[in-house]
Amino acid sequence: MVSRLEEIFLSVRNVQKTYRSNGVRALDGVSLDTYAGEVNVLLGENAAGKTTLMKIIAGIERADDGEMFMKGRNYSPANPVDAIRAGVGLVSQKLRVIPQLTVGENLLLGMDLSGFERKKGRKTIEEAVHRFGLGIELPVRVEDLSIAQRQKVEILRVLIRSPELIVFDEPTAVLPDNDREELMNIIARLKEGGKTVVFITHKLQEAYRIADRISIMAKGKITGTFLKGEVTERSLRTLVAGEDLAASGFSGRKTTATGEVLRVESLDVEGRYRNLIAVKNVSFVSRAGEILVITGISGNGQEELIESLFGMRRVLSGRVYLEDTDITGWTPADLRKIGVVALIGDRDTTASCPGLSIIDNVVLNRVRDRFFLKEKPLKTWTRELLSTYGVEYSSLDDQAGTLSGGNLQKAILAREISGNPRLILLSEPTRGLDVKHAGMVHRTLLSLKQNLSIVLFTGDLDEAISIADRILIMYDGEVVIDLPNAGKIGRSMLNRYLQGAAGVEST
Amino acid sequence: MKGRAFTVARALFTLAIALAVGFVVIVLTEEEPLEATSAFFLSVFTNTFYFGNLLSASIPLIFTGLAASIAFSSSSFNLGLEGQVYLGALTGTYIGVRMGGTSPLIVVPVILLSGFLSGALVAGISGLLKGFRGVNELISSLLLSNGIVLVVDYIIEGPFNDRPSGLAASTSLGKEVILPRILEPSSLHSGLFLALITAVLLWAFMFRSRPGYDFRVTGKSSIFAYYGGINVKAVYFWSMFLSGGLAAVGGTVDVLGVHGRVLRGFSGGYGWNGIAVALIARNHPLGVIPAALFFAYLESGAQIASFEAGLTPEISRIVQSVVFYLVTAEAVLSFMKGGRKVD
Repeated sequence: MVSRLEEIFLSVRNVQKTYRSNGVRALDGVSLDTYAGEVNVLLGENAAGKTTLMKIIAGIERADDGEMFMKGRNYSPANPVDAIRAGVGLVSQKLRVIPQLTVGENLLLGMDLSGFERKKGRKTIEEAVHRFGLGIELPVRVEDLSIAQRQKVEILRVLIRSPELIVFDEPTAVLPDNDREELMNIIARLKEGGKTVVFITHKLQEAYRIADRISIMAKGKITGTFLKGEVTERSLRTLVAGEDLAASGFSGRKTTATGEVLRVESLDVEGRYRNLIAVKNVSFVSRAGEILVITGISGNGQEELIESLFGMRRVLSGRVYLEDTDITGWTPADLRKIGVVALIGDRDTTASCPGLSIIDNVVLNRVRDRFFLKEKPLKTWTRELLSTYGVEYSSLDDQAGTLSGGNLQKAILAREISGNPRLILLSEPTRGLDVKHAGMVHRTLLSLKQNLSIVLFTGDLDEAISIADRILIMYDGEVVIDLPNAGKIGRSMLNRYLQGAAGVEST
Repeated sequence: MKGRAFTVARALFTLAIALAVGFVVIVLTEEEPLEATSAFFLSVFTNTFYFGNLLSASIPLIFTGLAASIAFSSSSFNLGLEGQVYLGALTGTYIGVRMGGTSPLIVVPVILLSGFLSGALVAGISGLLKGFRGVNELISSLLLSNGIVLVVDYIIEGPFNDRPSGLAASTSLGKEVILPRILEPSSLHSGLFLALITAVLLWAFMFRSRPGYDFRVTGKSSIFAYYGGINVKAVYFWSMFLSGGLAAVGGTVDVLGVHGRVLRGFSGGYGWNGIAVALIARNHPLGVIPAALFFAYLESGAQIASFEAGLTPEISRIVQSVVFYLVTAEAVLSFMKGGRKVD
């Protein structure tokens, strides 16, 4: 089967990390051994700390405590360059390519060459392209490539430096099926070449397929490491998700849903990159008096869906109705007029304007139906609204960019709720808020929902379960499940769907 | 408020340095530097003729400065101001001549309105093209403007020429519609009040009305404006429309107050200088007034120094440029800082 060298390439010992900016304890004493010449898979839920651990290994973040050893020698990279010199390559989740440059130029950039070495650099690149057979053309501009092809450029850029240890941080999240297959082949070839691979994913099926060794991570710790032969795919599933939430105190919520407010019928939505459909044939209904939570691992079409519902992204086909009105493709201006408001994900460029004053950011809806603006009443109104939501600021005339992330979030939320909306679309409304304020937002939403319909997009399962009347999960642009949040469904079940269980079952 | 005091103090400090540098240039090049310097910087305050001319020169600059500032603060880059100034002058004159004999109480407002509309419509075309076809308004307004200047030249030398005078000028308006003079014999006229009132009205529009709010929000971020329910295309159109109209009125008022007709090259860059004025004023409508006065002050100083103290016109220009360069640099600097953090 697998030729195992049983030699530890990289050993992580009791590494801890707390993010100072938000106080989140991402790693709580992680110990992990990666074996040379093997594919080591790291499995875990969202926010289990997988990415943080990889950032520490790649020198992007520094550990607060703990040690690492590479081939028995102390390894503590101060920055990414140290890590690269030590032979570690990270294919990160976010694509770090420059769209305006060609593939070849992007690859050259990563090689850190002086002008005289360019020719040599090109040769190295051509050899690598030939060797890994990725089928990418060097003179093509990256902006003309699909996201999957860009991913390959990113991978190739790491491979060119011939690292000994290659970390793939959820590389398949954005890849279509056939490209996933190709990636699996690349990894198999790397292993044949004696390289060590760490592969992070939350897709059980592919983890099981390529792994020699599987480590499971939860809440900042490694909870178990298994050789492939020791576990089945089914037992893995239980191990990753933990016990059912039904057992851990999850109680259903009595729904108070009444009339239908929003109806979405077979919606297809254009993606961010060329020739990519981000939302595929999505249909659902949202009623007054209920909170509908749409969840999923980020990048599965949720952001594109909310943008298209609010007229910020092109609908390719399908219909959207608000009660009896067809609102497909309406502009935000028209939607706001009939009582639809939205909190779009991108806070700094879309949902707020950092260069405008705080008051100008907040009165956006308030001033819509008038011509003359009286300064005093507007200021009084704004002050009252902001103090209701506990927004801290020094002056209303300060630029919105001076607010902290949490305060900005609260101010934007206050603005959107402040009208008399019929339908509220919210993307990650509690992102960046501490527990106290997140709870406040949840209570506000629960008290508001009696008279209107709320559609909430979140990647946080706990938030989904604690607030939803109905939960809808998106995977790969499709709705894979649409269930009432009534106590019958457990967290592990949701988790399976998050990871594309529908696809798993059908194969 | 503390921040504002600091900003003003810094602006004055820059002004002092700028004037000092101007002085150095004069000292290095002139035989009688003191006389030349005082002619450049002080003579303008010594008699009402000079001072009146300074104020007069500032009038079209206030209009074009307002035109530029309203466009820029809505992120519409109207580079066609110069053509709009000419068009406003020609349209106003033509309407006035055709309506000769009617009571000035009717004719003057009609002249101003028609002048406004001519520039507004031409600039509005660029606004519409931007909103519906994605045409860069910077290019379209500039190209339209360049064409307009030539067409106006043709009309005043051809069909609408004042043949008996033998000048490259149009037929003259009747005396009764000419705006009353102030501080004679200078060229100052009551158009100054019109300019000041316009500036105040525009300030109220930008900061105390919803459409003005829409302009400002769109100017800072069109994505945020669109998301917030602002009709961004309407803002593109109306901001260009207003901007073009204001620039055109600048031309019309100059005709009504100073020349009484359109002369070839009468503007001498009111449009372009309006952009500089808006830049110094940081697009604030009320700031346009001191900025336009300052610009006119440098212009007058250069003229006076050249015929009173024999300062060569080139040196005059250099001093003017140096002062202007430093003041503009300061404006740009604080403009950029303002984008990051408020003190």
